[in-house]
Amino acid sequence: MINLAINIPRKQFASNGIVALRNLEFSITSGEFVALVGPSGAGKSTILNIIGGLDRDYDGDVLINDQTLRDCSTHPARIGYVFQEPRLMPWLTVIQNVELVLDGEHDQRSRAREMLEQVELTGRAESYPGQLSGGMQRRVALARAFATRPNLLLMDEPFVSLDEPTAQRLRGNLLSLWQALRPTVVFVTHNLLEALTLADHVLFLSASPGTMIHRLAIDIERPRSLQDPTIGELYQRVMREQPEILSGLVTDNLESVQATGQKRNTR
Amino acid sequence: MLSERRLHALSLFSFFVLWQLIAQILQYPSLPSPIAVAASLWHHLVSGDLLYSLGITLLRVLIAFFIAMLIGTACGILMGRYRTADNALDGILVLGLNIPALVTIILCYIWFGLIEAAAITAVAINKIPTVVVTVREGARAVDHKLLEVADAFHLAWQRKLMRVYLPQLYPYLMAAARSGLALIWKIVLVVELLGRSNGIGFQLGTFFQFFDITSILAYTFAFAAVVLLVEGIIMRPIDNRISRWRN
Repeated sequence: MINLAINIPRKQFASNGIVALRNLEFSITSGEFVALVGPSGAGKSTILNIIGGLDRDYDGDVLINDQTLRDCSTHPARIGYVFQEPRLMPWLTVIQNVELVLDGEHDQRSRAREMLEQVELTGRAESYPGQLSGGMQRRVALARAFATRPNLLLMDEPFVSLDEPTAQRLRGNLLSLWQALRPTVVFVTHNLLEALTLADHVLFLSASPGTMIHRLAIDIERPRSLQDPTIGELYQRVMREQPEILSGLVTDNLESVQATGQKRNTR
Repeated sequence: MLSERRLHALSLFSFFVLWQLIAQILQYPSLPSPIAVAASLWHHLVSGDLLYSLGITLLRVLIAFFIAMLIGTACGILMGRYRTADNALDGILVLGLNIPALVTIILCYIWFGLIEAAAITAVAINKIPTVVVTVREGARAVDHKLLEVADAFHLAWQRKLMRVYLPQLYPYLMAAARSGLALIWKIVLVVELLGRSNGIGFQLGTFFQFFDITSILAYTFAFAAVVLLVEGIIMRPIDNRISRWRN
């Protein structure tokens, strides 16, 4: 059970003075799958860092289950984090990298094996990350994030630069994990089609400094796939009505973009 | 093509042959032949004084080495990590790097007396600054993105230290240990020469007074053999183990 409420009037980096976020406010209910979409530099990674408790230097508050994150000595959530780069420890083998985050749990070896099986890397368990391709490293990073049985899953463009069949399979893994454990998911991507396929809600961010410009609820029944006509239709409609939304710009009549499932909302 | 190992052996062998030839031709009393040195080495070995001195010196080297590594590593991490610490200690560090070993040794003996603790302290003080410099470099190069992984997944601090932080420092610690041993060997001998009544340095001093060049060389080679042994059975295996992932 992880509910999130984010209210950040301003986030400025002390090191270079850049304002990354401004008047950012949204909340996510427990078990929800939310995708953050926006142009590069919109502060998407910054938002994940803040939610994950890695960055505490911002104005405003992040509430996790009504607790102020800043006041928590340890993060209230059990986090699975997939960074933009794989960030594996090069001196640990693949399986040791997964075990690293399973702090002293008794079944850590078998759990790590199980996770590697899911990303189809059992054969490379004893390899070092340097011996793997970029795509394989990403899969190890996913296995590591899933291994903790997270109730809050933070993912920063996890499927970028993977070949499409692999990405497809891993999206499937992600969804089955999500359906099994129901973690709250915050998923950063710049691939709108991917966002529409995976998420319950898509939050669109403006160009820097990032703020939320639109929240799109998607009530298309699952399972969905990238190829579903309804997804394609929704994508087309978003792009038609808000052609600049992926650059972080919106034209006035935001309300017109509504998700459709079986039923089409009339306005 | 000769293998590396063969080339090694060949060059050493040629060196000894050349030395033997020159010694035989010149017949100077101050240039003993390698065969005479080997005989002397055997004599000192059998009589026991060589092993005793070697043991004493090794013990001093070991203690001074660990003290220097421990303090040097702690200061190095501190200075690499925190700018304030770096600024505060940098002046002292530069001073420490540039004080001649002999000065530290003399001062330690004068202030603390001709005791074991003074000898060890003098050696450690000479070594600490170079350890600090090397480890500080490593601490500055630590990849914060990997530390963030540890934080994101809430690793316990011991685990973060042992599996995420220190592995990044290993190459630097290894370099500090290697150069550290090389330096400490040398300084310990001086310390023994100046203020101890046992150990290799003391023995060399005695031989010097009797102009016993053969014994000096015999001791030197015994010492060199120990250094090679330490490199081969301790340093290199550790090095291989911690850099296994690079291959």
